[in-house]
Amino acid sequence: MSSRTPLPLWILAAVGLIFVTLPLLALLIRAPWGDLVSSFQGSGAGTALRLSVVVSLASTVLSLVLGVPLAWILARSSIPGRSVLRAVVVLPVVLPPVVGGIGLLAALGRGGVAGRWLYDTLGIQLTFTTLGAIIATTFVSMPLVVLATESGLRSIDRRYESAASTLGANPRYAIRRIVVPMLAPQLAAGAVLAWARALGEFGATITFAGNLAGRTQTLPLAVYEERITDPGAAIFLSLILVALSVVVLVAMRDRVTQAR
Amino acid sequence: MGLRASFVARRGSFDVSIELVVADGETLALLGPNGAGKSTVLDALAGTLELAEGSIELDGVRIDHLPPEARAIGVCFQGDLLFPKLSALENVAFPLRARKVPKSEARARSTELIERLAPGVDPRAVPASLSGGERQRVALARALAPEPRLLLLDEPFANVDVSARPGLRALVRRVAHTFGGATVLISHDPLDALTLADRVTLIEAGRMTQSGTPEEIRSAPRSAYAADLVGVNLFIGTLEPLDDGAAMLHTTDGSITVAPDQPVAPGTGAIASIRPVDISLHASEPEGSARNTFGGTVAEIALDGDRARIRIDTAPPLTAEITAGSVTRMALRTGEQIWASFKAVEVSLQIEGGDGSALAAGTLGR
Repeated sequence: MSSRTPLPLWILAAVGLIFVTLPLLALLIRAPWGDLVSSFQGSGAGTALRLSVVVSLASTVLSLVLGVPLAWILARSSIPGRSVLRAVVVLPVVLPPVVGGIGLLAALGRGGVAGRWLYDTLGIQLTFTTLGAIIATTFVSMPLVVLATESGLRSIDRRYESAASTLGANPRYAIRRIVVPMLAPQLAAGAVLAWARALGEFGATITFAGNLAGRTQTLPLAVYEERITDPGAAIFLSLILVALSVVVLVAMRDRVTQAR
Repeated sequence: MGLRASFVARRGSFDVSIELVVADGETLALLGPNGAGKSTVLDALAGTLELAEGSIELDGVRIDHLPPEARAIGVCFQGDLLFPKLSALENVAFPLRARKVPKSEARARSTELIERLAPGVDPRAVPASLSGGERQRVALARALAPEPRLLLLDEPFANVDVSARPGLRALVRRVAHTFGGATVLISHDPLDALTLADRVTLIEAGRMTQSGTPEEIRSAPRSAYAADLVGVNLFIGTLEPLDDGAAMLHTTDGSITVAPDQPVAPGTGAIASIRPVDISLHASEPEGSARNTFGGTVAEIALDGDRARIRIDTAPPLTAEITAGSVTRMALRTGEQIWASFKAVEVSLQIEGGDGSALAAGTLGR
């Protein structure tokens, strides 16, 4: 009943709402609706969009391939130091992305701890390449896969796997037919979150992979570059990202709130 | 050939030591209070827990070094543990598909099993849509699908409505006798054991305390738990012979007079029991020939239909059973002074032999 809520609360809430929604409304208002087509062609949005999709999808796949086994070890094995491992794996979630980028440079840059060997022995350079962009985005999104998957694994009753073994199933068969279907909702949620994070990644990408159009300039980087020379294009590119974010939100609502 | 197991299993700091021999077609019930070690025994038989010592033989072949998936067992779990994302048919077919049985054959055998054991259940239904009783039937079908040599049932009726239990018990009874192998049933409910088992082994605190047919346990319980199960008063102590051939049985809670049918040496151990219905209650100290007369206060009155069980804090404590009408007639109330009496010759007596075994009962006609 509105008479029970104090007025100051209403005022502060209204200010908060405006604070959050005004930038989004402003994007819609200031967008170059009249010149959509030329904006699209001029801003190189097509290239940036294609690159963003490729990088984010590749990074999501890589996050799953590496993150799910890692989550399994954290949830199921009895190796010592798991809580420390978990803290380290989750660190990229809270770490400033640009710091992640610096770290990646120190590790995989041409003079880096492992990068030097890669370059000198195999001639591979990861910085300023699309693969480098994929690595940078995987660095920040894999922890999300690990978190979601580990939580999912913990919530599965281990007795099902015991039951499966007494029924004649070896561990691999039991995992395939029993655990994975039960884990699917959490896996999907983790994948969607990882994809969204990869899509929006800026600091680590620009630091490690650079801002090269067509090779490493994903949508967020393109927005940053266009904002000075062509604000309309920057807004237009931003709206594409907003649209993709809304798609993620809708997908997440279905997966997460109905998770079995 | 059946099951022959003799082992020690350890879970944390808890040891369970047990011996089981179950022939094909026979059902053994493992009964005990919660925490006695029943699930430890089940896990050891199933292979999810390694033995600390000893062996398990099934059909003459040792299986204790084999992982669960290599043993010819079928397990029906407490709480059915049907795989939630698989349909009833897929659940029953699971052990067959895990053994690489072709899909069509697995489906056919599973469909037949469901029709036979869980009629009325739609094979395409998921477990969440079935009742507790239906799920347990499907779980039983799943355990039997791979034609095991040993069937393990863990508290099979725990999650089933009381009204559905009789039907399920009849099913388990039929299945256990016809599937061809040995059956071990784990339960804390004596009714399960008494209705399904050919033999019963009682387990308390990790040790076997008694083993025999349900009738043997009923007529001669050897522990407080066994006595509680069958509802008798139990006395454990040492005998002191009296001049007239009777004897006093001294327990830590008090002494009663018993009538052994042979001479006993002082200090011989013995276990005695008397049924609650054989204890009479009196408002004042009775006269008469009953050798056992005790005075005390009423501790608890439990009514059950037209019967009443009265617990009295005499020395030793006694539980008597009288009619509900008598409770009213005597105006019994807790805290009231009451007298209980019973005849020495009506006490069932088991005298310990030299090797600790119990010799024949020393009563008339029991």
